[in-house]
Amino acid sequence: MCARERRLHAGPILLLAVVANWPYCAVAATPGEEAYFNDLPSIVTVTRLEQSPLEIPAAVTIIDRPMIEASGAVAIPDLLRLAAGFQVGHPYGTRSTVTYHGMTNEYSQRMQVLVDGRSVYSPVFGGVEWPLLPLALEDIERIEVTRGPNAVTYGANSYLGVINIITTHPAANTEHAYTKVIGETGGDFQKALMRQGGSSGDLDYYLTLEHRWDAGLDDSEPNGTRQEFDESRINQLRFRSEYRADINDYLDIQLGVNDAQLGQGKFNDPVSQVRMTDNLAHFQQISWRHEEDTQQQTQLLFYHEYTDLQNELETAPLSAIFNVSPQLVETILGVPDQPVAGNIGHTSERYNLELQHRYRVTPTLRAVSGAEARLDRVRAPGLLDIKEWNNAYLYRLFSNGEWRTTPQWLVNGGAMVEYSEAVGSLISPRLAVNYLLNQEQAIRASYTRAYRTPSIIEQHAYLVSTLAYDGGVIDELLKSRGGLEPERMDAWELGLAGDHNGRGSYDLKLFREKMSGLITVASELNPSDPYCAIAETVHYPDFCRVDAYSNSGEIVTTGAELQLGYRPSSARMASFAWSHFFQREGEILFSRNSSGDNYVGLDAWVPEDTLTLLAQQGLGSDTALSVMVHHVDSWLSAGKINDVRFTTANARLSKRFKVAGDEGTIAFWVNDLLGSYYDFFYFSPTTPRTYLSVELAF
Amino acid sequence: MRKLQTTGRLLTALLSLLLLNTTPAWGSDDQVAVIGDTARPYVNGFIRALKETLAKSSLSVVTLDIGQERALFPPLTDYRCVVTVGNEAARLTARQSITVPVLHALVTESLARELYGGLPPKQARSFLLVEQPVSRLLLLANRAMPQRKKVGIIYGPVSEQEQSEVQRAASSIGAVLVEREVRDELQLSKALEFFDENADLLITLPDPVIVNEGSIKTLMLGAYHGNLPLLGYSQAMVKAGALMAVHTTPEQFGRHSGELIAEGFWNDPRQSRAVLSPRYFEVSVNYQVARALAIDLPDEGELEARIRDAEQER
Repeated sequence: MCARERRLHAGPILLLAVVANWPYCAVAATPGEEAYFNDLPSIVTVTRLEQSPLEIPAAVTIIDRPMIEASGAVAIPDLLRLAAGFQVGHPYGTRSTVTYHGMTNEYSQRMQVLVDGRSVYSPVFGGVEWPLLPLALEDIERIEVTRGPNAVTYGANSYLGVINIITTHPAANTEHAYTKVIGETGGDFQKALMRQGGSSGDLDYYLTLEHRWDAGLDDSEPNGTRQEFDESRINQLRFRSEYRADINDYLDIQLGVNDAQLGQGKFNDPVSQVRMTDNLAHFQQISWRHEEDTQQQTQLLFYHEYTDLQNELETAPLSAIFNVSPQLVETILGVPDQPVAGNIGHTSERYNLELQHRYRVTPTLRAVSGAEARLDRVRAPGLLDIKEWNNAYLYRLFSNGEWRTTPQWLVNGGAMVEYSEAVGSLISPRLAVNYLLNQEQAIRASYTRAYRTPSIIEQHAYLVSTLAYDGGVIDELLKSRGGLEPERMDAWELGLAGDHNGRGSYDLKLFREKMSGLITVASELNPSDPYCAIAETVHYPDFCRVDAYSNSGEIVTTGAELQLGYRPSSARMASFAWSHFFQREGEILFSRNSSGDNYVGLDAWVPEDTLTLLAQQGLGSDTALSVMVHHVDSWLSAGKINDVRFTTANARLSKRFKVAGDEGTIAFWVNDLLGSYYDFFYFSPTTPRTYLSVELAF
Repeated sequence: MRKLQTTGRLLTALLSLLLLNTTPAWGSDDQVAVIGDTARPYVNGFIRALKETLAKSSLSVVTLDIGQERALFPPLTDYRCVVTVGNEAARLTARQSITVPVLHALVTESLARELYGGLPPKQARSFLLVEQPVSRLLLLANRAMPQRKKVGIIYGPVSEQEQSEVQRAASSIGAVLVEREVRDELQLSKALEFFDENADLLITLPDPVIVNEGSIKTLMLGAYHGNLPLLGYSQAMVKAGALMAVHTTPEQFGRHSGELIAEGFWNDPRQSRAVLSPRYFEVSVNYQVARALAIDLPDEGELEARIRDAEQER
């Protein structure tokens, strides 16, 4: 151990110093036997070119299979806490929100999510309907998380970051597996998963079936009454196959369907009454890949996605809402006492065609170029001012290049040009320079611009509550002013990356992000509300107010991030992620276009510190114990502080075993074992849960 | 802040728990102890094949996972013999006083050299190297592309130790060596330019300066665009763009080890304190690269047979 490494005990500041001075400790290690058996690591998400961690122009966190298993996560969003700067919130028990550097509402519209290259970003609200993804946690090979904007590679809405989920290749999943998980989450939790893989000649395939029933979190009030109705029943199927037509041509076909019933509403709430919503999502994806040689590859990808969310709401009668007699309701409103109805259900489809070509321009210049065409169709008569199907076409051209000017210097540059009818043309460029200090370390500097285009709901929202029997509008709840401009991000980054023979890695990032034209929701006066005149009489000020979307200002943040990985053996590992904003309370520069409005949500808030530690140690006899600790500190905005801060921890004990030559794993774990907490939404607390799982592979 | 301190204390307590280890098992004379990190797929492949090979004998296999039990090994003296898999396992047992025969499988030559010097006198400890003999790599080049006589080879700080062995092997099969040393990755591109002009093909040996995730593209690109076939030492290199490689699978290593044990290597003076090269091997070819370089190559099986025949002739 070199002298600098010994200072690790002295605290985070010295830790940074150690990382910054790593070159003095680095020695050229003699390769071990693993060099003969392991694949050579590469990252494909950042530029669409295969690059080593030292050559990429952005900060990336890799969450691989051992980390997934050690984390104790039972849902995909919870894994993202392993990436530096990521926050995961649970506005309702059935809904998760994943964001990077805060800046979100419950839909997290600023984060792009891909599954094997397919964008699952919702065309309605933006963000991802995580419970409706036809994807089992067990099918994930690894997740490449680009921490920072990457619209240059994946287009608008790859704004704060990109989560690229890579599923297991069919050739690596040819076994049969069965997993059963039971849990105690306040109610019960049950999950059964079956996977059947196989191969036939040049065809490899697997099929995964999953059933999951979650009675929901124990979010009881102190008096024992339950708040949220967050039960969920999910059945899903996913099929993936790859056919090798010849040595140059590969055909990848994926299909998936997810049928989910999700609980909504609150107990004992006359407005948001409990109800089970029916939801259906499915997708079909086909890609053809032609490997001309090691440097030339052409890929044609087509996919179709369909999502149908049913969410109709009917409240208790108006007399119960306002706590007055039915006669008084009739006297004041002039209609008989009756419930109020709303419909936030919607149906959406996406058709996407993408052509991409990787090639070499000169011996020192590689590039990838491509084109994409997309049709997003949305029908949401209860949500939008457009009552029929709304068709939105999008066209893209992109190119990224990697130019090795000298053996040490690497320049990554590229641009995405896209056109849509709603916002016109956008150009998202990036320029980055990497300097390789040696074979294990590099520094990088980059500038990136990205856009987030307004979602259909932001452009065309018109959500009203209507009288259930008479059909008349009683209150305007949400609407858009229309004509919204895209949000723009200009990001500068300075990074230091190191990769020590696959056993240790680090990435230190300093960043400055300037976001302008932020689309936020503000509650504003709405004199055109039909019952505004009686708002005071019934003590219901919302009759005169409406939530409205608008481009409302600019925010500039600066901060630092550190991602450390240490894996001396497969049974022992540690991962550390830390993110810090340099601003203090009141120092966030958020200049609004208008004043006096009541802003709703956390669109202009950032968490001061986010920290995650995952550690695993073998205990002998094929047993391992892993612990994950996650901490989020106060959320900051202009002159304000949101004091939602929490620390939580998961602990998992697992044992591998063999039965008649087949392998299996039994695991017991407790999530959020430190007790109940609110993540960053005040709606429902997250509570401790226990799980027991048995997995058999044969 | 108070919460953070509480968390810190909790974390410290949990990490302390992590450091606790448990004690395992005792051996017997009809058992072979295999020590390795069983979470590594190649170690499992090795063990499976070892068990299959020994299934015909009266010996059974007991696996001791160093990932789980590194701090406290059970007594190893009661087993018929001990097999370590990989460098880490070899290092962990190197200083242990083990009276039964030991086979250190899948170790690198540099480690074998280091440990061999400190062997207790008369103890049967053998090393099964993970590396192919350089002569085998040269034979592959020669039998696959006999018209390409000038064999380029790049040495780095680690692989330069093998220079004399490479030269001996080359002269034994009549290959003309074109050698170049690079001290760091920055010199790699220039070395490749040199080989473009002066060699017919290029051979790489394991060396952190020559082959690492940062340099691999430079290596592949440079060779490819100099029209130089690149020969590597692992299947991963072939997947990454090398023309071909000769390598031994974990199962083949397991089979070889099982045969050594079944033969009672400790009773054979040629094998009881020996450094052994892998008996079995495979050839992997990237036919896409072959087509791009306009090189016509026979089947992988045919190439394997040609090498085996040549080795037997020698």
